[in-house]
Amino acid sequence: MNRYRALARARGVASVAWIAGAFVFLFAPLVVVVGASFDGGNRTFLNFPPQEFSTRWYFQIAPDLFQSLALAVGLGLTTAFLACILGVPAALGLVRAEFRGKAIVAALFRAPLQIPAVVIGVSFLKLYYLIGDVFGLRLVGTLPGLLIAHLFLATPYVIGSVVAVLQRFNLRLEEAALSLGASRIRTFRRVTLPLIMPGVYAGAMYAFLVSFGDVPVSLFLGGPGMQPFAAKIFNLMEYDFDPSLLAISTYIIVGSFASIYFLQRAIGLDQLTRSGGG
Amino acid sequence: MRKLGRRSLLAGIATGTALLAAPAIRAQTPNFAGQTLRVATFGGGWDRAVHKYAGVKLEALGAKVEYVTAPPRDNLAKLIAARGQAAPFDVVEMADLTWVDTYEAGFIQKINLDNIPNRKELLPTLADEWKVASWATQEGIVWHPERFAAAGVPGPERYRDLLHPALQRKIAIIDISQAGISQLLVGASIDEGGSQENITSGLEFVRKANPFQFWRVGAQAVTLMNSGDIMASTMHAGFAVQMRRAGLPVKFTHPKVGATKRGLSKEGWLGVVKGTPVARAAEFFINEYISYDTQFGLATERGVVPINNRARDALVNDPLLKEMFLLSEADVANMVSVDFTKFNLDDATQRWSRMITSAK
Amino acid sequence: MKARWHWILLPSLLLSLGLLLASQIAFLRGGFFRDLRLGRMGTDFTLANYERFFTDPLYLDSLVLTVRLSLTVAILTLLVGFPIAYVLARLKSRWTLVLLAGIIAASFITIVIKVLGLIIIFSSGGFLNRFLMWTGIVSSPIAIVGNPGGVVVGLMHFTMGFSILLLYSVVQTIPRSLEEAAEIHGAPRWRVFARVILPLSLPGLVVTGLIVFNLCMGAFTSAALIGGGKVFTLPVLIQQTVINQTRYGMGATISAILMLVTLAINGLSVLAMTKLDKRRSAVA
Repeated sequence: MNRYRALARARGVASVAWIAGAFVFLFAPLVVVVGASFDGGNRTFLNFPPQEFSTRWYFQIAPDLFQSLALAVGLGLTTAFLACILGVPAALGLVRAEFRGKAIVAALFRAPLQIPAVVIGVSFLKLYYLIGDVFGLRLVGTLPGLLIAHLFLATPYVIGSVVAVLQRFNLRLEEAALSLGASRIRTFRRVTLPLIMPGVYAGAMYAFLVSFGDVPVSLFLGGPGMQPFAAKIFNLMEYDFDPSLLAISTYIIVGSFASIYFLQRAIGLDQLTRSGGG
Repeated sequence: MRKLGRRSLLAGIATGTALLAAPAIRAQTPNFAGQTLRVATFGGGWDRAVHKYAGVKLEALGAKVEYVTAPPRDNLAKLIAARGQAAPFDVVEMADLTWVDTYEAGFIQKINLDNIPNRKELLPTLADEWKVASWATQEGIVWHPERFAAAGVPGPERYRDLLHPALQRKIAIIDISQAGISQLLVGASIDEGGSQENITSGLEFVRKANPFQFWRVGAQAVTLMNSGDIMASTMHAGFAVQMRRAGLPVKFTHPKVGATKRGLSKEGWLGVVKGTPVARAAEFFINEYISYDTQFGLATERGVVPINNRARDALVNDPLLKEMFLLSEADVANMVSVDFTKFNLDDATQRWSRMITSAK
Repeated sequence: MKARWHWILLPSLLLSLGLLLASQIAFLRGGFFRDLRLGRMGTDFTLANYERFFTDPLYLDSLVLTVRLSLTVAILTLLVGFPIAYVLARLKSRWTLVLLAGIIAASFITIVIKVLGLIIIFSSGGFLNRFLMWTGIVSSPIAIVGNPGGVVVGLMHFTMGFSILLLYSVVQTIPRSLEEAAEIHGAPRWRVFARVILPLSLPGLVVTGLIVFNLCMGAFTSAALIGGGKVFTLPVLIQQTVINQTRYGMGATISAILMLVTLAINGLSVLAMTKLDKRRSAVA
């Protein structure tokens, strides 16, 4: 028994070390970024460790940076929401339906992932100009234009994550609910949806991340006052770096912790941690 | 020599006429109420600086100015995507290389030079009916004297000096994707016995230099310079100004090219996009862009070299800019400028990629 | 009952397909005509661009490099990410959420900014390199920019958060009772892992691995910024061909081949999975 406990502890230590290692890997560059944001010098580069501690860059962030950050968050949330509306039924259909050419349909859904983002940018731009010419509908440099392209990029992630969950899903639960007389819609809401929710959350989260982090597509499809944050940063870095970019990155890190906390409070994101455990 | 003579003569006339012409132009300026001018230019604060000096002048006359920000190569890609359809913007910023492509593809229209009176303050080569220069930089070598001294390497005078064994994997070189690559390749080629058309020796120089990296994002190269990973980088002098202001003790070398030439100039160009409904506003904007005020403002705020002669002369009073840039008429005339009708970026890119992938 | 599932995937299929075809056909079509630069093309159908791709080592080497890098990243991401996802999913602690939040928060910072941090960390005179050289693990400083290894690290930053989230939700769907049952019967932990957890999460692992792989095949920003102009993956070449050389036809050709190769690798893995699945259910 003692030996078993020692083994269990060793395992515990190993897994803690593994997780700690991964977090160091993920966070080390961020520690440098946050640290350098407190360097008070008028730098055009990243200076770490900071030499003259100061918070001045936190108050010198250009207002249009905040504006483009707000745009990116709004765009990301809308993209995530609509990607779920499109993606969840698609995933259900892909896993549940039996039909010829299913592999081809699955591949089609994944196709946007295989197109380099630069190509998506250029080809959507061309498409939008064409639509503008034929239907008089302006999409370049507009929110709907960015949204459509981001949906194209992000929906495959929702499909992918929901499919991953569905494939391990116990059909018998649904059948049981149906045989007990629950309506199909009720079964979906009460049985299916809660079970696939972890996949939906993961998918939505990644849809948001894809939209929020996209540079090449936004670079081409953005317009005056319509440049999402990551693309704007990319532009800034090419010509005009200053530590306020690091300061706003710090705000984003803090902000994402805060929003996850509030999300958990508001809608119970902790079902992520409860749903499958029991 | 030819350039020099014409230039000094013109400079004299220009200063006089500009002062005289100013009130007359104002009287003629049309009203731009209700018009929107879309300008494709650099992002990252450059757009804001341009607006502060040039954009507001147009807006004072009733127009609205919008900025579509992207690098010049992306502007060209946008024009290509819009081929045959309504132009996506009215004024386009072209880097030196892009303008040939933009012109050849037929995306720009002729400019009515009568509406650009400020061109008289520019070198005559910097404005024609297709394009007007918007800014200039000077390509060369940014280097760190203390680290050079510590490594026992003499300060570079020409590109070739970067081939010192102690500098292997200790320098950065501009990437093929960046404007400014043509100056490096042409400059190094001529210095190694090649020419504007034949850049083989320039490519060979890049291969032998074996750099730590080819930089694509300026902040990256500057960060490497600060961290000590590199001791020098081929960049434009604006970066040297930035670094020095940020407390990095760097120097800038305008490389000697061949027997007599020194330094490499690089210009940005403005064009009026074909089919724009607001051509007159576009021309007014371009005229303001090259004015003394805008050019002087851009130079001091953004670290570029003014293309407006009067603004360039005024920089002599700034000790840092005076140290980093070549500002005197004689020096400017003695710089190498790339002939873009001879430089083939398509071919250079292909050879560049092949050379780097086969080097390993 | 089964017939119904066709219909619900139709709206999103139509939309995705519509966008895919509308945006890509005109672009990809350009690959079959002579490239006259500046987005112009010849009028006669030709395979010259494709021929060039398959006869020029520049493109072939780049294809091999891209596939190799993407595979490496996919495998490493799964190797590192799955244990973490597993532990997090089984951890009964309030820290779980904090740790998950941390992984998500780290993913919010664009690689454009992160790469500057990475440069400092891997600086030749920096702490990490001094430590590695002191321990004797490396004899000369390792660099993050300008080599494929660095690009792998950068891409892992890009894919890790997402993979952990995905794998986390996969582990969530494996009932804990299965493991407990096995353990009660005295099965050692590794056997539980090999016999219960791994087989049950295999489809999820494959899907995640494929998404990571696909993501890397199309990644431009990391490869361009960390590659230091020396790592020519296909997306980097495409960007260069289209933007620098304005050769849209050649760019389309490279894109088409990139897509086909990725599709083929996806198809093969799915095929292998189904075979495996069938064999397993036959045994059961």
